[in-house]
Amino acid sequence: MKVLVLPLRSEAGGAVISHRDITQRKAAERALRERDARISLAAESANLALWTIDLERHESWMSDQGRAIFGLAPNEPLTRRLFFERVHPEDREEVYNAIEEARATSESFEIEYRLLRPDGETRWLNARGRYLRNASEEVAELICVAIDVTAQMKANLELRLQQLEMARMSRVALMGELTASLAHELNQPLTAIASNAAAGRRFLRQGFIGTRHA
Amino acid sequence: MMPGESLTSQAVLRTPGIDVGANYLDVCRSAARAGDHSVVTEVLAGIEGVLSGKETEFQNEYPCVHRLPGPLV
Repeated sequence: MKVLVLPLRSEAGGAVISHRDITQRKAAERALRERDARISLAAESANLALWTIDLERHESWMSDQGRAIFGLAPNEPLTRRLFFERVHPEDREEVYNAIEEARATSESFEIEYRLLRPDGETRWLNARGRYLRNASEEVAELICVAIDVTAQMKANLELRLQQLEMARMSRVALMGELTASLAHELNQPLTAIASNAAAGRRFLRQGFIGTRHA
Repeated sequence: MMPGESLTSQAVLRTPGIDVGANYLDVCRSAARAGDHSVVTEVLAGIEGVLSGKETEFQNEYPCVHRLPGPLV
């Protein structure tokens, strides 16, 4: 029940007290909470971030896992502005365009983007979302689900760096081989030239040959 | 609805004289005295706040448990 007390605008004063049966509303709220709890449990089991923005009731909800990923306090209200503040500045326009396009076309969207959390940490998300429409075909709710792929992205980056390092090492090894080959190819004739020159000098010194033959 | 149904314990519901036309504030005060009814106390304070002009409005939500006088079967 909901009790409402309002002052009676009269000289005698007084108040109007009304009691309204809100059983249905409470039941709907409880059902919503239970739905959110079930979805949250499923989201946490899958390590997913899940959030909804009800455009008609101006309410939003985000799973606990989502709040942890986005760096939101447990009771911090999720607003559109706050959401875009968390998106990395370099990805913000792309995310905005994807969401707005989905709104206009009623199609779902999928996008990979970065979060820049208040603690300075960057997280990579792979997100999907779609708008739901009410009975009048008006856009009523936005539902999004995202998975934190930061570890995967870091692993990919690490792999890429290792590939680059291996390519560099390969180039260095090739240069080494080339250098050794060049040294060998040059040393052989130079040694022969030096040896012949030494022999010639010895012959000259001992008078075996004249300078004309040298 | 009867005030006693929503705000008070079974003891108040059984109190003779509480019917249509009963003094609502007296019923609330009686319920508050009857035991630890934080909702009743809150509502009573809210009503008195509006009556005295200290508050311009008061609202509250509370669970309503109907206690039937006897078993259903």
